[in-house]
Amino acid sequence: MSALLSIRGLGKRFLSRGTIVRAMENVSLDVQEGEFVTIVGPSGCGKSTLLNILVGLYPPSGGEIRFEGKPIRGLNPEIGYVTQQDNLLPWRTLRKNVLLPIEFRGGDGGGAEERVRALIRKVGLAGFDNHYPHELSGGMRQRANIIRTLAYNPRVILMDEPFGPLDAQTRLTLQNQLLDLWSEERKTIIFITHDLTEAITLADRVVVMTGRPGTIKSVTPIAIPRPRDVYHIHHSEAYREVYDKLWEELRAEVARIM
Amino acid sequence: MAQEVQSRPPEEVLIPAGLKGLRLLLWRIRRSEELRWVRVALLRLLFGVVMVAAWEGVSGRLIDQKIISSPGALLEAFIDLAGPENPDGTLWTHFAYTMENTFWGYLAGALLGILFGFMLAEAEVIAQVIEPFIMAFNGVPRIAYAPLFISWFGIERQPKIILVLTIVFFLCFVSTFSGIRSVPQELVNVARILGGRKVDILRKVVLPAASPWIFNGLKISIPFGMVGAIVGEYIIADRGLGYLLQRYNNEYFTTGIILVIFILMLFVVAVNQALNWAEGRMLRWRPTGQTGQEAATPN
Ligand SMILES: Nc1ncnc2c1ncn2[C@@H]1O[C@H](COP(=O)(O)OP(=O)(O)O)[C@@H](O)[C@H]1O
Ligand SMILES: [Mg+2]
Repeated sequence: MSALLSIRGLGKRFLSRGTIVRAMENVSLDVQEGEFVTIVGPSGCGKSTLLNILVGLYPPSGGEIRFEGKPIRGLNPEIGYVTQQDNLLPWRTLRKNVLLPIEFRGGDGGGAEERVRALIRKVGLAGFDNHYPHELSGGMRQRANIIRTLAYNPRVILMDEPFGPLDAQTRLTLQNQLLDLWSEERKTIIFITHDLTEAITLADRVVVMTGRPGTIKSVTPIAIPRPRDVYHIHHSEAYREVYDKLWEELRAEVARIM
Repeated sequence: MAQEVQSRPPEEVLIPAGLKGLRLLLWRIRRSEELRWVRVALLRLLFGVVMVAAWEGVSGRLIDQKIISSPGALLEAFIDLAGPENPDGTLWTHFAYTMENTFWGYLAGALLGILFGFMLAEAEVIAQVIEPFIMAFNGVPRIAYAPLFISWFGIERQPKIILVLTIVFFLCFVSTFSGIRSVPQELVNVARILGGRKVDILRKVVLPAASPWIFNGLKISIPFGMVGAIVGEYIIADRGLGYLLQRYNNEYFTTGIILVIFILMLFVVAVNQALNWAEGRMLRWRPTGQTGQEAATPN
């Protein structure tokens, strides 16, 4: 079976204040349909750059991306992007924010409205439909951000440290909800995080990246059976083993750039 | 159960009639947080009354009434000038003339300003090319152009309207332009990824994000636009509040000058109140405590 998303030799250089910054180099990765891949790496190693290129915000300096075997350039409507900042439109209520991609696509009458209502309920935001973003907590806004992307059903969802700014308790709740949504909707997810526990809890495979210029250091399948218990996963032996291995790899990279 | 000692009257007690009731009411206005606005309104009224009384008291006694007029004289002049049998038109015809010129100049200037603001904000190179020219034209006090406009457009309404137009145009242009430039790129990117085409993004992201700035431009344009109309009339006209100011000035009619100033004051305050109300409704999505004025200041 060929991969849904196939990344080959991807690299990116930025020209910044007259010097060339090599952000990312020779990144190759195959992602299967329905897979949950998480990426960890030292900060500044080009993780966000990788997602920006995958979604098509700007082109790579080298390499190519194939979606279902066909090379893609520019924005791809099948790829959604959940950014670290929630980027909700402050003048729209929660419900209207989630409906935005559906309005952009010309809507489809009642079906979309119903789907949005169900998503809002599923992530525990029922009753807040008509609140403006400034009236919601950070966790609620990030949930709205996620279901806004789910609302229009892209096949691949990229997530850039979506739970980064949240407190530990809220993080666990959202991880749990994300796993539920993923197992129901069977999306393909590429998820960046700086939290190794989060990376292991969510993933089918964890990708460790090297310091800048970022490239792939290792890809580790996570054999912990699903459904996983986000609140107690750290008690399991399988978890501890893989955590120690990944932490060694990551620490070497962080140490190298310090 | 023992009756609790009431250290203050309970809120739900009805106010009894008579002197006792009045004292209770005053007591409550002084203390209650909810009635704070009543307190402010009463103190404002008091302040105004004291000012007017002091003015009336000083005028004709400490300072010559020819110099500072007086509230009484003002009222008399108002009744006289607003009356129907005034030879060269009542106050209202002058007021209407000025306001009509302001209105048309404002309308055209605002529409053109917003339109150009949008167009130039989207056209990077053109904006860079013409920016110094715009700034040069705008940097000169508008009164310097007035003689030119008069020689081009005559002494009727047109030069006044055009003076208003140029003032309002630049204020609206600059605020729209910087409003659009300040729209966060991330919001635009997210909208593109969510499937928005260029027009959708303009309508649903750029325009609302820039609206506080645009609104601010529209707001500050009102008093400045009025200045344009009045300056135009002051230079040459046979009607309008600016003409009245100029004539009263020649006649040393201080009361008339102050009367015109008061009319302008009342008008600007009323329009501002209306705009604040409209803005509050339109920009309901902003966090509270962030009024349009503060949040919308473009620089
Ligand atoms: N638009 C840009 N212009 C110049 N340099 C950039 C740009 N975007 C990212 N970089 C640089 O590329 C490197 C990788 O950035 P990023 O992908 O944000 O890292 P990460 O998300 O892994 O922390 C950093 O050194 C950053 O400064
Ligand atoms: Mg990043």
